[in-house]
Amino acid sequence: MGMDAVGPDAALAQVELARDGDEEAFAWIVSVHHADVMRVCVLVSGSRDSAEEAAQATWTQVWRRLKTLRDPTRLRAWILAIAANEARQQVRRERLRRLLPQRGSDASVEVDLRNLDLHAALRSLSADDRRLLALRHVGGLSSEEIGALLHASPPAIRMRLSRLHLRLRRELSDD
Amino acid sequence: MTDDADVNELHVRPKLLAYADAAVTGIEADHREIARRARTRSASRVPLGGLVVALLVVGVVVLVARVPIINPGSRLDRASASSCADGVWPATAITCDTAFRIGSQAGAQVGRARIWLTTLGAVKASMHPTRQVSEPAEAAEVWVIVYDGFWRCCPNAFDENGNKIPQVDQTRWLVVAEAAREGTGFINLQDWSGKAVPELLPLPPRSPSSSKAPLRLPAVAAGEPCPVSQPTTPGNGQASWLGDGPVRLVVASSGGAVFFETTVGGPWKAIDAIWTAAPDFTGEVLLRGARLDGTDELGFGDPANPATERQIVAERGQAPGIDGRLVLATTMIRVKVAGCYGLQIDTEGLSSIVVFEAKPIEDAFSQLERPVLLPAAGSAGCPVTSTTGSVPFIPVTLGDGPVYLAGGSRESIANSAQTGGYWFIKAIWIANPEESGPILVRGGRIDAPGDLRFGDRSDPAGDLRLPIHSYEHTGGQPPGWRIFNAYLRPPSPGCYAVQLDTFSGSRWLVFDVSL
Repeated sequence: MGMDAVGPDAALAQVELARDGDEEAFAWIVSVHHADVMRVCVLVSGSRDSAEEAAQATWTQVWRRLKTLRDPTRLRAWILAIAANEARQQVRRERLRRLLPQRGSDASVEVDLRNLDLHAALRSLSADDRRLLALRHVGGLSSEEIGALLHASPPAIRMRLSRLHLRLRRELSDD
Repeated sequence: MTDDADVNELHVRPKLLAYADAAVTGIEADHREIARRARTRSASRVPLGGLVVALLVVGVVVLVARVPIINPGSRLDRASASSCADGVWPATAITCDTAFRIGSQAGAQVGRARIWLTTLGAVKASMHPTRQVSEPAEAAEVWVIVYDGFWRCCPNAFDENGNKIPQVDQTRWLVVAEAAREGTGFINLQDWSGKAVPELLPLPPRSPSSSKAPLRLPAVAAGEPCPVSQPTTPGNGQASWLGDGPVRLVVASSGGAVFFETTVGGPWKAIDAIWTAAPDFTGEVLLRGARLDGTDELGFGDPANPATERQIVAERGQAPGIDGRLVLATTMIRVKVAGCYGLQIDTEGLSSIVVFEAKPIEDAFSQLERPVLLPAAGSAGCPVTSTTGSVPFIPVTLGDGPVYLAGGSRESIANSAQTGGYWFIKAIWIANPEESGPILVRGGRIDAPGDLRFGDRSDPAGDLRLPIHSYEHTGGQPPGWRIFNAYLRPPSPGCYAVQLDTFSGSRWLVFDVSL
């Protein structure tokens, strides 16, 4: 990850500067983590455009709440958890828009033939489940870490992930 | 890999990461700009919950607030705007200063803020906003704030057809946000057509007593036959329609019956309707209706609280959308129960009436259950239907319409999982505007004994019932086109055919399923 590339001390220094309102330091944090934020958001939302909106909302939240971050060494997990939540909220907003009666008002669902199988499989999951997958695979977080972020027990997270992986493997199997 | 990876995770993980990576491939994000927007939005929060949501989501600057009107009787300056500079800002919950502050977010530079009292319906009649989460009734009066200045809009905006709108620089813009009422979200009335917001905002509709033609729907006694309007079917591949006036109603119908289905969000049932007119048609259209053999109402739009009437304004210069005709609007006609209904379509100097019998969509599918007569495979091999490029938003599809089939693994089940003795093939069904639906799909293997099933259950269904309304959309989808995602479930490789039964006839598609 980008923070490691410049060394943890330098990264922590940037976090401290950003917490004090340093705009350059905040832009640096964005540059390091934005790609992963986008990956999380697209996995949860299923749409690049929704993900872009959720990602922007994520950075607004990060800037607003940076001073509340208790352990700056956990910055990446903290940001990605915010991203997963923002994307989940974006899904809800998009769902509301989709349910509106006017034909053509929805642009959030994109049929991408190259990823049709995975796209369909992900769409069949709840936003909560997709959030779990995003934190696990993009965030690289353990069940303990995800449990701490989502206020759930590690065994429960492990069980949900195991079921999700089994379901997805069946859906995507080429055996 | 993390501490507790399981064997299924090892299979799934690369695909998920590739899927996520695809989202960031080719993006050259401006991190400084993202950071700047985050700081700006964070710093400029105003104590108006719904308003903030609107700004965060759309990144917009303009707001029209439906605010409590302190003096409801005061209809300040309908014909011309009030502005801060004039010192005549009306007594609303949003002050002149607040309006400026709201308008100056997300990089916008406000030169002038003005306010009008109008209705949502009037604004929508002459501009082309996208519908958002929550909107006030179209006849309700709202204060609309309009800004002049400079604003670069909008990185993630889409027009009514789902097409992404290029980022443009604007010198005048407006948005109506429902800011004062808790929990109602927002509405965004940016005119996505790219046309400039007019100097004078549209006025509220004229009062009924002064301008509306009287409602002249025929009366039908209970138990009497419904005097339904017969559809006009040109028979040259064009959509059939109801109505003999300049404005036509394109709707799924059969023998005077029009079919409704349940939609989410309210108890009112939906009849999907497209209103079209000749390319040179301009002017106002007023739509109203009622049940003729009972006292039930007919409405438009909102499934929880539909409007009793719908106004449409056709402007010169619109591009034809269906069969060379203008698409004036796509709407939901709302009814609660089956019955005989009348619609009056008023245009300038002319009223026309459409009568139809509203029936549940289940009745339509019953009518479509014709015998299944699949083509034979013959000795020359599987007579696979030709693929075409007739669907504008999907490059290759099976068939020449009006119903098409597409899918990522259309001709192979090699990438599918077998459950319950049936393989999965992802499929997208597409109907062009000629086919109003519903569509009954049944099929089977034609080169050997074998059935064909549908759906994602372990005991897949023997038929696929594609309704009229579709919530699925894709980029570049023009008005009137509908798509449905579903699974084909063949039990084995082979040559298969599906029979598509609609009110316009029966058609067949043949495809080869291989391992």
